[in-house]
Amino acid sequence: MMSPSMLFLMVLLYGFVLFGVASYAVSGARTGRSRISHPAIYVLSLGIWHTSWTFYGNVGRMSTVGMDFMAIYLGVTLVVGSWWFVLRKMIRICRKQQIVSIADLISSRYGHSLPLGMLVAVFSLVVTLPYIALQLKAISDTFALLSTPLAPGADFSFAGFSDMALPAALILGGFAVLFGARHLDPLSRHEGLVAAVALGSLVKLIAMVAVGLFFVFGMFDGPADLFGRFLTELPRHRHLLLLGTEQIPFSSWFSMGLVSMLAFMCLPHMFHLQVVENTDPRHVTDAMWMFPLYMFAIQLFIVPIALGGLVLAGGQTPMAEYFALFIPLAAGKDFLALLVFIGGISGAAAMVMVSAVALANLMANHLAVPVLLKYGLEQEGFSRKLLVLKQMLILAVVLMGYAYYRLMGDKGSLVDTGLIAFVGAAQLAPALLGGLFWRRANRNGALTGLCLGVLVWFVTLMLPALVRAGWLEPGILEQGLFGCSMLKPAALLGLDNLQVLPHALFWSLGLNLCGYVVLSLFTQQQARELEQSEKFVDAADGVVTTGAQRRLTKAPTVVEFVELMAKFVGETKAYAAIADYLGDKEIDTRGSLGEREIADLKRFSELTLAGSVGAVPARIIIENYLSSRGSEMEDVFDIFGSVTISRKAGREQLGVLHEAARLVSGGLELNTILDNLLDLLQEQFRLDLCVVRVLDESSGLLQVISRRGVVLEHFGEAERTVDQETYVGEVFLNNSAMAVNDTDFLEKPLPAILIRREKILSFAHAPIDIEGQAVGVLSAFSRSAKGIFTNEFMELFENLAGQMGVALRNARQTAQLISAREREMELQLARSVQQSLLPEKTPDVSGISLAGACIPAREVGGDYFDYFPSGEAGMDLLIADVSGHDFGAALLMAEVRTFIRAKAEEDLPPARMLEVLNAFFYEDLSRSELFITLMYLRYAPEDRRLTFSGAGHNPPLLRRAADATCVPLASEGLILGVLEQVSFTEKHLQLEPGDLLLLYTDGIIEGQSPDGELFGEERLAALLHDLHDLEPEEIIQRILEQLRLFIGEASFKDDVSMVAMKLARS
Amino acid sequence: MPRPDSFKPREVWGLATVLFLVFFNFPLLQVFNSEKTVFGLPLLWAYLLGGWIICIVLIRLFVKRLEGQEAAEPPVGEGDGAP
Repeated sequence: MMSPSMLFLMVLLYGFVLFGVASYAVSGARTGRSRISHPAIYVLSLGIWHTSWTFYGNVGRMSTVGMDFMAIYLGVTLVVGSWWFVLRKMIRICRKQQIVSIADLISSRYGHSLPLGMLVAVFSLVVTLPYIALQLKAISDTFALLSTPLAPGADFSFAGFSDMALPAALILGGFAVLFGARHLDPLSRHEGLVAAVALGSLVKLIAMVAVGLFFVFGMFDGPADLFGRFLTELPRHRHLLLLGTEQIPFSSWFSMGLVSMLAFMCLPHMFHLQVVENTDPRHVTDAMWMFPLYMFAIQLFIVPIALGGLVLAGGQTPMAEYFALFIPLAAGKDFLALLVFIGGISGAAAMVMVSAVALANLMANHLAVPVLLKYGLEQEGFSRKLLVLKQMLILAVVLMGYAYYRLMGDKGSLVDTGLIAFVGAAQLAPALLGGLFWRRANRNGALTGLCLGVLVWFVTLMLPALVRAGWLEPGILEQGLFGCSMLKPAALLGLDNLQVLPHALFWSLGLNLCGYVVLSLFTQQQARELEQSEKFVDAADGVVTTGAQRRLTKAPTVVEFVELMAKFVGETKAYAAIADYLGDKEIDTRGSLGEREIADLKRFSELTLAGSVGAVPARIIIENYLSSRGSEMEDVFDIFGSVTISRKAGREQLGVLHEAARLVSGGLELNTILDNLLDLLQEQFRLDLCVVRVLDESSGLLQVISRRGVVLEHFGEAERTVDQETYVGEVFLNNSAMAVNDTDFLEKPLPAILIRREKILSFAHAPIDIEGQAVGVLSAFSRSAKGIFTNEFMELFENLAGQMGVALRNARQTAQLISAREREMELQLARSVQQSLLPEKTPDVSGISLAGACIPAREVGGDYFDYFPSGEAGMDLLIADVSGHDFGAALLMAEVRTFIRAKAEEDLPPARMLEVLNAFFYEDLSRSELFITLMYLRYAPEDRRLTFSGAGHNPPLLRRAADATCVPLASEGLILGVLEQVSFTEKHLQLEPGDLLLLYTDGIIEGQSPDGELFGEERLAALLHDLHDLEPEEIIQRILEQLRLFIGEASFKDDVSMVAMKLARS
Repeated sequence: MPRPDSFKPREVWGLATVLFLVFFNFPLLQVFNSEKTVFGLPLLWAYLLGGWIICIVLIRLFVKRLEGQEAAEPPVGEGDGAP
């Protein structure tokens, strides 16, 4: 028996020792040399896994139920054995992406999903609270037990507290703040905390071994005696040595192992120590066998303590959990009891402190900061505020744990409460592990799975706990949720032959996995997720190279490797290097290479590039090149090739540029690309606001098309005029970048006021140009620091702006292509409609042969010809040219055709036809400022008489067969659409057998040769003379051929139409 | 070229995991599930502890082999090994 004040003093003393060790570690960290970077310290820090649960809960479990607690440690051994593949990968990813918590990791993997991060953060908190409560309960219980032993239930009070949980919570919270939130660390490393935890783990081990040896050799004569007495004295407790008993069916054994494996990875404090506080990934390798050894040693004596305790207590179990404490006490070994007590406190304290720090980070980063940023918190002194916030959160977490302990009571045993936390934490495992190894896993799946898992966890474990604590009616357990017997918390869907743990684990993890897998399979990943899933899944693990595993669509040739290298090291060097490499090897430099040769050459190219750009970028370049051949990704390397990056450019810069190039060439939509680029910029350099403005042609203003970061109305939303009044305008006009590293010194008065009002400390603008012509401006603003826009940064910044230019150009070209394509399709349609308006077949008129052709200069034109029967056996012929060859002309042409076809039935003479046409179209034509030339002819076959009337059209050519002369059929009519009332004259002509008549539009005679010479009427007449023996169809073809030859490679400037009519020789 | 090494860590690890699950699970555990004692220790407890120790030794050997392999062949896919 010890006095409470004495105990309290011992605890405080121990606290100060821990604090001293922590300070020592921190002082090392400040000088830059970590004093805790050692595999043994890493292993000991992971000893946090052994909380007070190990000390008391397991002993209680062993002496009442059996040895299923060993599954916890065996399961974890299996997890630790997989560290080479799993933990190392997690650490690597977290380093690369600066991830500092499990919520961070999961949300990053699924496209930096804010809701997912929030959900994981909240849920981590909820599941950890029971575990924290459990530790507080252990501290409180043992404190009471040690100061008032052998009188369980006796009233306890110390310094006004009837229970030590609250003082313990406050003290632990205070220590956690001291160790974990004295100042802000971007990497969230807390060397002091780790040192304290490691020391605590050492104390735990010593205490456990000491008390174990005391039981085995102090209270008994060795293990044989201990177990012998147990078996003989307590035969009804023999089942404790067995598995598969009523209390521990094998399903429970297996579930216990599985749930502890998953909880070991997913509990926030475990994740924090394994991943975030890892100082060197190489320590993982040593820890893989050292940590199981530690676990082995610390649990070795649990069975002897439990069974020995049972023997000594005569089989009484009410105090079984605390055998290790009160049996030494009863034997007068106060010091040993104190050691155990301190060991238990160590386990509890370490868990509470690290959890509080980890959870405070989680909540600060995923809940508080996003909310604060959203509601535009004053940014002044943000980092100091963040620190205070974290400190408050740490205290809040510990106090919430205490609240859980008070509200939920201490009815449940340590193990039961612990399992609630374990099953809860295990719900994070599918999203975490799936994210690392399954490429298709997506956000929808993770969200759905997690929600389902949490829901089932709540129903199967939390509801019964709430009932036990008296917060809910026990009826729920009997009748099921909402009175539905299918929803009994202990027997969902009537599954009632499983114990609580296997039952809860089966349903929660099962539904979680189903939701996760099904949604991942049947919904799409977003673009950002796709990026991240590649980065996560492909994060190379150790000796396995990703490049070699990927299938190449087509094996690359040596020449391609050389071209790739030349982009980075210059052609001369690249060729010299390859010549050196090939030496006397016989390789066809243009042929495809074999697998082995590719591997060799890949390594060689990598080395060559590494000398110039560094090892990591070199590998990125080569691997991406190999994996992306034949895809759009090749653009990446062109971009890289054209951007001049100084050799000094570091790995980070190259990384950003490479990432940017990937985004630009990724084939996403412009807005997505710009958003992603801004995200990249903002994340990498912790800027407060990044904005892209692009010149809007119609308004002449620079308008915001993409924005990331805090909402600042003037800087993030308002457009800018293109003038020298603003910095954006100036950068745009001068097409050169600028940076202001201290906004206390600004020349432009108006911007200065606004910039200071928004508390911007520094900013930079860079023009976004397309082929040297500025089209927009990229801006970055920082409220947190002056002087961040260094020359190196500006180089990168301008390169990013350049890549945005590429993205803009690509997007515009694509848009143009699409609109051209759409237009072309419309025109194709119009053209086929127009072509269908031309006469399909020649009328059946005796003694003549007839043909016509119309070739529009563009898709549609204003030329038109027609022939149709008229009178008894006659035929009307006409050819017309509407000025212009656009849609308007084409429409008018269609109208003219309809009109003429309709009037043709009235059998009007040609001159009269022209008059009504003119009268009818005059208004339309003069309004649209168009006009029509037209030639209307009527042929009567019985007397071979031709009647014609013209309206300003080129006179048709008539070749007389009799004297082989060519004469134009002149007629002096006015163009249609000039005057409202016009009268046309009509001429008559007698045709003879063999005569050839050609109607044409001015497109023919105005065809120009490359020298500017016109095709002319004479040339046409001569051609007609030469071709008169041919059939009309062929004549037209020949004329067209000649015209094409004449104008050379140019296309027709004007529509070309012809109608040829030939009278049969008698 | 690195010397061809027949040691395939993933396969070895996969096999070990399966064996682990078999040896520490129903039904194989049933073989040792009795109240007998060996050297005065309960049989099942001794079996679990013995198997566990063997596991730790195997992990140690596995890790040593992996480290040896990694040292022989610089980690091509390792992100942190850059100069």
